[in-house]
Amino acid sequence: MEFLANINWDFLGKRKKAYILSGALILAGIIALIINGGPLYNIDFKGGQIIEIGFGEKVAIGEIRAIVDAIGVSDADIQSVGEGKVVLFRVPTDIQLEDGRAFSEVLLDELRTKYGTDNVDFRRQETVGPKVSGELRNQAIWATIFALIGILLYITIRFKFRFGVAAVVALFHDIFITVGLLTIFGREISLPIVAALLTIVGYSINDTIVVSDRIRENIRILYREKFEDLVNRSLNQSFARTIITSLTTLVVLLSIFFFGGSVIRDFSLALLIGVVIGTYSSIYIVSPIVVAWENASPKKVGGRR
Amino acid sequence: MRGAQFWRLIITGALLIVSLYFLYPTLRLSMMSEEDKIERPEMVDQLTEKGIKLGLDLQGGMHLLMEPDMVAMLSNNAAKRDEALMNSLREAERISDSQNEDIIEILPSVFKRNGLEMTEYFPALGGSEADIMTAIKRERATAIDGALEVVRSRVDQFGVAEPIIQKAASDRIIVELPGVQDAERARSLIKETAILEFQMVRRDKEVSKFVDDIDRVLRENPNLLTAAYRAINIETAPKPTEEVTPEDADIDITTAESDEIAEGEKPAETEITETPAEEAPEVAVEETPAPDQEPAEEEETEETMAASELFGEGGEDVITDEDFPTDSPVESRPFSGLVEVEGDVIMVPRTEYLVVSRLIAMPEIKAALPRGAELVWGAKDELIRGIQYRLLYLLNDRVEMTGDRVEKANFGFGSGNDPRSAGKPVVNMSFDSQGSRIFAQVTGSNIGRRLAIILNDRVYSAPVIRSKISSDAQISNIPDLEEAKMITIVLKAGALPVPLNIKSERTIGPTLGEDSIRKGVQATVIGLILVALFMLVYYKASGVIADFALVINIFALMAGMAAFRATLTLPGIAGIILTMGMAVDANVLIFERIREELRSGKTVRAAIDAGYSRAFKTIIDANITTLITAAILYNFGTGPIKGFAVTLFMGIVISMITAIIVTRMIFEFITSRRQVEKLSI
Repeated sequence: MEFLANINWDFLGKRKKAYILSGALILAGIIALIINGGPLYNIDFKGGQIIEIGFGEKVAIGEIRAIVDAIGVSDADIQSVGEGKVVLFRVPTDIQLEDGRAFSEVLLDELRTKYGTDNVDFRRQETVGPKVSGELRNQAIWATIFALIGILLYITIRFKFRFGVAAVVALFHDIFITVGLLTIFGREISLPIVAALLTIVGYSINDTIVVSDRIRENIRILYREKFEDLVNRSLNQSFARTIITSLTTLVVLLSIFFFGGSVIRDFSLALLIGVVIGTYSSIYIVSPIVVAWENASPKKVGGRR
Repeated sequence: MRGAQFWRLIITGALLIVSLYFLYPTLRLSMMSEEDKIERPEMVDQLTEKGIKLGLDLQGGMHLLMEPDMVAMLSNNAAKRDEALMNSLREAERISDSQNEDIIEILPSVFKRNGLEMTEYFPALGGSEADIMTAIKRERATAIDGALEVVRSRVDQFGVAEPIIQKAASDRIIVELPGVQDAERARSLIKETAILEFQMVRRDKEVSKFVDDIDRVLRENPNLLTAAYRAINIETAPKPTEEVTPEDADIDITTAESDEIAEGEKPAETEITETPAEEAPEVAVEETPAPDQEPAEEEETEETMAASELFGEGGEDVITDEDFPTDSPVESRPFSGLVEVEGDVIMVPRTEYLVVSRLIAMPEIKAALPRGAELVWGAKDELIRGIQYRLLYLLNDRVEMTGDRVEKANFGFGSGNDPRSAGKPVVNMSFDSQGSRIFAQVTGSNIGRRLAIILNDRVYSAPVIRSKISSDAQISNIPDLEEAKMITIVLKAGALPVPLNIKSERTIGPTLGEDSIRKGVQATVIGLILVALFMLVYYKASGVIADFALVINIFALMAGMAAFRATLTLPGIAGIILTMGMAVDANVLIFERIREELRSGKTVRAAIDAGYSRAFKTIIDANITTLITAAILYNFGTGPIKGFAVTLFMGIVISMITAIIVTRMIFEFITSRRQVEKLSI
């Protein structure tokens, strides 16, 4: 079986349309971010407490809320997930209950009294104080910056500076659109999501390199060809590989998304979005930038020796 | 060519053998049946130690990040502990939290802003600001190291498999307890400062005089009681549902009123003298006589209380003085009407606990305390005649002895000699020689009085001293055996040099972990099968080779995890699945190249050679950038994220090896034996 072999599509000719699409996605992301006042951070980055409790059967949120109110916590965000059998409690970290007991413990006691010990399953609790969440935020930002610098350096060494710049522009494009879409879907940015974003960086750059590699190789063989045509030819030659790789990765990610459980669902969603956007950007963002740069200042493209 | 092929064979073979070796314990463990596991626990331990280590998110457990309570440490070091100091310390703590700066660096500016002199508050630490700051830092470092030791010894005695207890940055302690089920217990095990103190209980007369004094203060200043009610209503916003309703209170009081046994009881003191003093019996509050108060009064208070709390939500403007009792009994006995006094113990009904704790914190009430006395709450609620009470003790503020002198401690059940602790959990302690001397002297000169045993500012028991005791004491009144075990551990390990504050916590219940493993494995298997099928359909026989490489890949990756004792986390499983995708990518690159070469008319042998050599550079370039990201993720991440980075990194390295060496070996093997005209690709 074979498809996409010997194709000769005009990828670069459609770059205007691609710019419009990217622009629209970025704009949608900006609007979503403005409406929400920035990305939706989860407790890793804004501090707070999440308690997840599973129940033997479906429970009414109203009942649960009454119990939380009775404990004396009025600003809890209570949310039902997993067919109503799992309840997420989000509360601030600085709750002071009499006796200095932890809210989660009092909550568990009360729920067990009401629903029976066997019907109440403590699943997880995460508490992040303000100091730690601030640090995690800084760490995440620095990790992203270091990753981008590392990649820029590597590509500059292996290819040419302009390829590196184009790749980093594409990476910003990918991350921004992914964060924007996650915000539109109402997903929170957590530590695992940052890990997903950095993986997208790695993945997208992987695609970019395969294409750039082909361009570099073709420059040596077909140096008489017009640069734009040469890039287009390279895109066509590597297109089958790009699509097949994306497909296999997507299949795997869809498998995590549907069968991997609720804990990593957002994580796999971020990767799904990122892989699609990353594949797209390696074709429609990186190459047009390199071509535009070459047209502006010719004869400096990498590999021509 | 022959030489290269030989080396490929060696590498592939070595990879397989080494992988099998490291993977064996994990495989063996997963094949053991439940009965087997119970029968041979030492084998399970052995295999677990060599198998793949699971992260907290997969096996359940607790991760704590703690910092020393600097407000407590600094105020303990201060020459005077006034309001101004405490406010400045708390302000510095808030700034430190929000701006992510070391509290010690912030202190000078906060002190200056509030017009305080550091040298005035910490003269013992140095003569200048800089000296004091250095001294505080040194003190903190010592405290952290001490706390680390204490926590380590407590966790060791508690018995957790493979705990992690380590210092992070300069002022943090990270504790990881895999598989811990009871989070609350574990938390208190680690955080408990465990200050054991012995203090004398004040005599009956002083207690009743003190209660009368509070009544007088409240009569003169009725706003205090209103303020106390207001405070609890605003700060805890109780709802009617959780309160004892007036009807409940009625029933309870009627029971008390008509309880003949209660009427006939002897006073607590008398009761205790009947048991041998060596047993250090606790005070028998359960059997104390009913109070000689008018039930009507009590009822009145309860009702008013409940009524006032019904308005809880409304806040300040709802509760006015009108909501409070205006008739004479309560007006004349505003405090003693709320509580009951039994000899030397003040019994506070559970429903009044909050308001009484507000009241006794007020400076006006503190001023009424007898000289050298303090109020300390009992450790837990006590059910007395159907009502939950919290006991309040009036103690000498002089500490006769502390837990530092405890040499040995063990827990168990009380002996039959004392009816009240018989069969109930107790902790027995014995003191070192100096402790024994002090204890003998204290008990010898206070025969007939009660000695309160106080742990973490709560009175556990207050037995009457019958005779001089030198070396042993017992803590009774402990709710369950687990708690007794905790107290023992904490006493043995010693007190924390500084209280610890939990800055972040992640606790995963065991069921969620199991669920995650099951689903993770399921997702991996499904993903693997789908990708394998695709390769098979798309690349036919060559796809089989790629699939074979994929299986080896996973095999080697898992073995690598076991060999390096890397931790497998849930994002780590996602990382494995992702590297499977990337491993396939390497083969796709190669196969697409081979196809291209075949299309351009090359022979099979030549196409394979060209395909591999052309794709090689691309694979390396593409994967190194991902390795860069994985390395950065590893450095930046904590726990689960690190697990992801580890699997990603190892997965990429292994996939490069399998794609470049293993599949090539197979191709070479096939094409070298006979002339292949057409490649199934």
